[in-house]
Amino acid sequence: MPFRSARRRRARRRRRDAAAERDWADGLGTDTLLAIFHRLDHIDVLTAVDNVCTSWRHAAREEPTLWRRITMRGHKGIMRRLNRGGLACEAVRRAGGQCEAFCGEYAGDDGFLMYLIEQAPNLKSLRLISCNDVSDEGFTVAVRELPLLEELELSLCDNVGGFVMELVLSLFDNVGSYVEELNLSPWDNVGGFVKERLSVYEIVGKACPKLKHFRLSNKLFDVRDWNKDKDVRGIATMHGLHSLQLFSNAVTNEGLETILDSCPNLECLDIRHCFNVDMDDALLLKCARIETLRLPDHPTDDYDLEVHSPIRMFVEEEVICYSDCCYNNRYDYSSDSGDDLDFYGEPSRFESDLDKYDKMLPQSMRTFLK
Amino acid sequence: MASAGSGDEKAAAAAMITLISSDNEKFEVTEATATLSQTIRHMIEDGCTDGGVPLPNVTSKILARVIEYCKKHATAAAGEEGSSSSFSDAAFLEVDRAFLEELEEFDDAFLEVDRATLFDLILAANYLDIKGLLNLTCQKVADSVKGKTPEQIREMYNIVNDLTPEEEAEIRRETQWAFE
Repeated sequence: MPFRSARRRRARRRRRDAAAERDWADGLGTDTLLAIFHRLDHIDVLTAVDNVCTSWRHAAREEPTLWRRITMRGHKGIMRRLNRGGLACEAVRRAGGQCEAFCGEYAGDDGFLMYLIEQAPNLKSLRLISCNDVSDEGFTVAVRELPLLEELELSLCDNVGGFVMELVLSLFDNVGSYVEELNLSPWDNVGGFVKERLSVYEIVGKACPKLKHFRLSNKLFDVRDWNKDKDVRGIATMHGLHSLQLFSNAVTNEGLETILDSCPNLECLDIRHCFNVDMDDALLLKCARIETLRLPDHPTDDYDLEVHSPIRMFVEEEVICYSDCCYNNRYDYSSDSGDDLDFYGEPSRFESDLDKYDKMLPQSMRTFLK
Repeated sequence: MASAGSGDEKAAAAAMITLISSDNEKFEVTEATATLSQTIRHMIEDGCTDGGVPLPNVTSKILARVIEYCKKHATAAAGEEGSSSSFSDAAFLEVDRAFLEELEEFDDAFLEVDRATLFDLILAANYLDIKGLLNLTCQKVADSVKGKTPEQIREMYNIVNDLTPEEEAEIRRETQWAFE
């Protein structure tokens, strides 16, 4: 009985709706339409809103303000369309040179970055999430053209974060101290590469003096990363940082202290899942000035990306590797990049993957031996 | 909710404003409630609210809803101000959270309206310049559009496809190109 009356009520409501229909196409005005579109992901604007009717299309196309801060998130399925197909470029184009912020998940490759620096020289915020087609080389070319950058995020971008070979001469004299400072392994010294290579974050530090917020989120913490403080030198050049998030980073106490010493304005530090950091008294003292502090063990329920279980136990994982080597994504990725090395043949790439390569070699050999 | 009470008292002490809808219905509201609307705030500042504020663009049905929204949010705003000094930090946060939750529930329930009312609320919020209400209603429309195709959106909002054949061709071309 209540069910039927509910249905009748609904039917009555439908009739009333039809009688009092409103003009959603032209009745709201461009400003209000824009207020609505501003709340959408820009993919929705490009693929749907754009093609609804003339006035919606006009609002979506002719108003650069709508495209000043671009967000394209969670569209893994149309990744190729976003990049090669040019949807990401179209979004930036519509900003008419006014784009100040770009946040792309699966949206952005090297080609897109080149277009971005051309169209958005005033970019203040660049957030790249899961943009695996962005390389160290492409990223460094782009970041050098974005001197106004205040916010930078590189989350789950597996191919950014290594070293490139440029700007070598100015650093030549200081290299000896870097090696000591960072306790680099003999591998880093092969063929004298260490004298010439520069971490991409170091290039960011130099190119973007206004950088205030930096976020670097890795997929998962792995205790076996042996070049633990490899990102430290670069981050320590970002002297103006107010907030820093390092998620699942292998950074150690020593590395973190270097960063804290180099970034005097740091107010907000998030090092969740950085399990190589042991919050001892010395470190806590150094962190006393930090207003918002998230420690390695703090809960991740408000973390906006997928959280993977960290690999914290060395021995335990070794056992899993023997049985599960081929099916584990991490190893697929690592051994893939190992194969790629032959084809790329670029010293910088080789260098950046060297630690992984070295570590993975025994794993891949085991696969072949089976 | 002691702080909410103190907010009410404070508001009650303030002057009352009369709002007149397009169909000549009169609504008595406190100044704190009315000034959530920037448009009315400016009128009050200019001293032209004697004898009531005529709102020829807003019907009594919609104005009643708008006032309901403003009352709730004015109380919340007053409560937040009042509580900040009289509670310790932890207690303040607790009260704050309870407030926000209650307000969120209110907003959700408030948005349970048909599309025509939603449309009128957007226009009223725009005309009266009530930022919170405009945000709330626009978000509701945006949420309903998210992930939909153009056809679905047209059907949902009864929009006629008035794109020219040239535009349609352009869209087809773009879509084709974008799909590799």
